[in-house]
Amino acid sequence: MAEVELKIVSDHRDGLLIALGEVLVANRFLLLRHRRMNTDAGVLMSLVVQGPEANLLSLEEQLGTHWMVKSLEAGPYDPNATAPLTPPPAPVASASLPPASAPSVPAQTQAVASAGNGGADKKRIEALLPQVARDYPQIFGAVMGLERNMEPTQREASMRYVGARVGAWVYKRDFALGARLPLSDSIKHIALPAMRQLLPTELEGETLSTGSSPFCGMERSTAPQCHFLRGFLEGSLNECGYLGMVRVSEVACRANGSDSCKFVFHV
Amino acid sequence: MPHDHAVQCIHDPVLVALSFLVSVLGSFTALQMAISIPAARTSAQRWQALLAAGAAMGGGAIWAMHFIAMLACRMEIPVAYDPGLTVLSAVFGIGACTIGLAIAGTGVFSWSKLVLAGTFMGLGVAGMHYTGMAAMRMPATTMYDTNIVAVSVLIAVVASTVALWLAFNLRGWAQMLGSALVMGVAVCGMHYTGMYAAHFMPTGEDAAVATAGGLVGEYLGMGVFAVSTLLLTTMLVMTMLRRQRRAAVTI
Repeated sequence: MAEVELKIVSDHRDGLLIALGEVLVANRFLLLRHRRMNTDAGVLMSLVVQGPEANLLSLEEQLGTHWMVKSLEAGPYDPNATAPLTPPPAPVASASLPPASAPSVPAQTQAVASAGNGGADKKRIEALLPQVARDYPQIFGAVMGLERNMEPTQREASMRYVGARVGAWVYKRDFALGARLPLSDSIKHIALPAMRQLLPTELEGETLSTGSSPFCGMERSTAPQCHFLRGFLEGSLNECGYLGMVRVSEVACRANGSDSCKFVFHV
Repeated sequence: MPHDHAVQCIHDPVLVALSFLVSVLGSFTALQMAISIPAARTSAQRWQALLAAGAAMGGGAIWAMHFIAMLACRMEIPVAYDPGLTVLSAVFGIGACTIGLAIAGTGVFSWSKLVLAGTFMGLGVAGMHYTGMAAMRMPATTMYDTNIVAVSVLIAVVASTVALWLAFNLRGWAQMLGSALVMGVAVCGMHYTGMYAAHFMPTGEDAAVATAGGLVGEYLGMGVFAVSTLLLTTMLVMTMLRRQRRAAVTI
């Protein structure tokens, strides 16, 4: 069993511990202790967790790419350490772990960490979001402009992050009032109408499908390209806080030659 | 069963229309309060939303509608209303609706919860109506066609269930307006079907004796006016606050 201390910086004060707790539970980790400090930039949270070493990499990846997490630092837990909680000096996705369980950091985690720690992309994102709120739902020009100016290695994680912020905002504005719906009804009554505010979208079973995504572009690609829409759908469903952590996969994309872009939901 | 000597109740169409308007207004106010129950963060917020919604539904949409409709019912005999039973009818409606809304607003939405909540709401509508009818003091007795009474209760339960589904399951305009309109149909549909089921047989009793101690139309009208005004004000304030809150949501 591994005991790890995770330091997480987030913009979100509300619902953060619940969201992180769901990731821990999903990876069979136990929360032993947590501390929290509010800063000007948001929240700094320290979690001491215990769980199977085999799941540590998956846990770090999911936390590092979580839409509520700006940066993540992981390290071995020292029960004798009495230092107060302070912001990490240079947030990295993964710090010194015991050699036996030293995972390699997924590129996506690093991309999110660097997008979240005040880099140029982060500044552009924060500058863009108020404009998105003003122009909503006519937002694709600005969002695609942002995507084009991003480093290719950061594009996926950052665009998912932007999409998640917008999706969460749309949920709070338009869909927060009503019953707690199970996933299938949430897809039908929240994700689908939210997506329809942006694009013509159809529901096929529990899969959302659109033939109008502007992110597919003219160039062919072997990988799905609609990262913003993935993040948007995740944000619109995760903001409620009672579904568990919903992740969205793009199982077909027009950039790969498919007729439409299809999104499936997992908890 | 023939009721050749039954007193006729002729409904004033303007007041009938007003009764539907008040039931829709009250339902809108109540259901807009109710859909914030699941989002309540503290027990106090939850209870506040629940009790306000129950009061708006039972007291506003149902009780006020019923007595506007009773004022719309013109009969050849004088009618007064027993104060105790009149208040009890409001308590009954508020209580049953509060329970129904609590069921619908708790936990994850499911069909079984919906049916149970709709049943409580429908029974609240019907219970308020028939308690209100029992409050009538007049030189006549009321006889009911039980088959039509059963239909009236069924209308209340089915329409309440649909209204709750619209209110809690959907989002947006369909949620807000659709649920209020359907609930208005539940309340009015139940009431006017229940009135169709009722036959008023004159007893020949002295009218002054029969109506002694009861609330007459003018006082009842003032009470109903006060409730309706409160409902309208609450609805307007709530709509304004919701609009402000929506505009204040940051991205």
